[in-house]
Amino acid sequence: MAKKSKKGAPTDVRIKLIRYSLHHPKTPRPLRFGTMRMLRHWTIHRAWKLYQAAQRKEREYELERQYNKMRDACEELRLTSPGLYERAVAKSIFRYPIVEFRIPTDTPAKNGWNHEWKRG
Amino acid sequence: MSVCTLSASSSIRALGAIRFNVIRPIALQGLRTRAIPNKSSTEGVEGAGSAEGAKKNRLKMRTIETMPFQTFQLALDIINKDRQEKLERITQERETMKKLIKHKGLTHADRRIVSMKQQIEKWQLYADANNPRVKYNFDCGIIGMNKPIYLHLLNKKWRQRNRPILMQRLETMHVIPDVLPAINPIADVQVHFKGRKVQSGLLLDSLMVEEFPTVRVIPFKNEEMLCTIAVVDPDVPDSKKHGFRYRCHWVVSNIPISPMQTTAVGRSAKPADTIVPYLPPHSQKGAPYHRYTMIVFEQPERIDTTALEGSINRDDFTMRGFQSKNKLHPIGAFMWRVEWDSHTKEIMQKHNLPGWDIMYKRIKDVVPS
Repeated sequence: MAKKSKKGAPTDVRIKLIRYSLHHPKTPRPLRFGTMRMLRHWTIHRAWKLYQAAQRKEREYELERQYNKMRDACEELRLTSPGLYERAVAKSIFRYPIVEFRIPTDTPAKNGWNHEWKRG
Repeated sequence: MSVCTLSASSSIRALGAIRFNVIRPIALQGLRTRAIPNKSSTEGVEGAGSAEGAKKNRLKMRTIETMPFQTFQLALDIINKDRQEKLERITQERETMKKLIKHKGLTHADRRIVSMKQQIEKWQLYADANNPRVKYNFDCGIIGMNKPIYLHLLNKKWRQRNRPILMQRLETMHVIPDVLPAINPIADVQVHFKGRKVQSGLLLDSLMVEEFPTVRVIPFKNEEMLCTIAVVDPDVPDSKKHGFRYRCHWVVSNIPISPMQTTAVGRSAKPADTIVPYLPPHSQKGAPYHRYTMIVFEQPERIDTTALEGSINRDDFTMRGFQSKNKLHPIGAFMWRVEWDSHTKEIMQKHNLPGWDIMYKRIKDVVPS
């Protein structure tokens, strides 16, 4: 429990800070809607969620279809020419340990640190 | 825009009679998402006068579905489309279910059919879950208890707040191992003492709990069942064994309960069989507070009361024994507490209860070791 001053306002620094930031003029006021405005907001939000769910489902179906097609093509290749199939499916034995395991990111740069750099 | 949708209205108009405007009520209109589509074509053909049109505009009602906001209307379209899809899916599922029963010889107790039925129920809920009218009605308290969506919403609300509070009270005051080993409440039990709603676990005045309460049991399943309500006090001091024992305060059996009939005991309740009449809770002076626990059981079938009435002894009663003997299943619970207070003596004298002149003391306090 935070200490309470005579006026009843808490003297805890954290609470003071929270109140300061909440009531600062630059902080946007909380959204206060009327009943019908709130209902409209809720409806639109629900519809947006439905739309997103539909989109997600569609994307998943698309991926599944693509995967099935690839699998069928591989199967076809295996039946027609086994040698080509093996070459198509085979993975290279040698793998670059860190380069291939790492998730590609923008940073750090490929070249790493520039040791030649001097302040001009 | 004309609101008239009746075919008869056009003939009335042709005869030169006054046009009637049907004013739709704003209140509950089933579970429709959209209002009845207006037939504006008649308007164009007939070419109504401007004065009449203005009059109609004044009389037009604005419902939740006809709020003139573009985004809201687009959202409603999406929700409607989704609902239609779900309803189609339900009809398809029903057809396949019929075919399975007809051609494959499956019964209604078959696992596949049962799971299909569950799926249909789920889709029915999902079809109405995004309806703004349903949300509005639920928030305003206009609830049709026979509709599964409202039951679902009520259940959700209860599980969010009131059920955890009840469970916490039962566990912190050790009602759960003391009265029954485990309770999984699936029905909301609301208790009113002298017309006042009481939260579970409170310390109540003994004058307030003198008469039996009104009990509402809200089962969230849409089916009828028979219930038994039993109140037990696990804190009766027993000086002979230096401990506590149980006392049965109230047993009522064969209470019909359904979402449309939620009052178990009270003015609008259906007739039930009182096996043990209500004994006013009283805790003697010096004893710690008594936890009065009300358990609502679901009965597998009708209980034969004549056989049971003789067999129950108030002072020799345990909830576990009662449950196992009658093959009951607990579905709801409630508890309150009573201490010795200024009205207890008066009440005990009024109801001829012995022990109002006794004061208990702990052995530890009397004989210091």
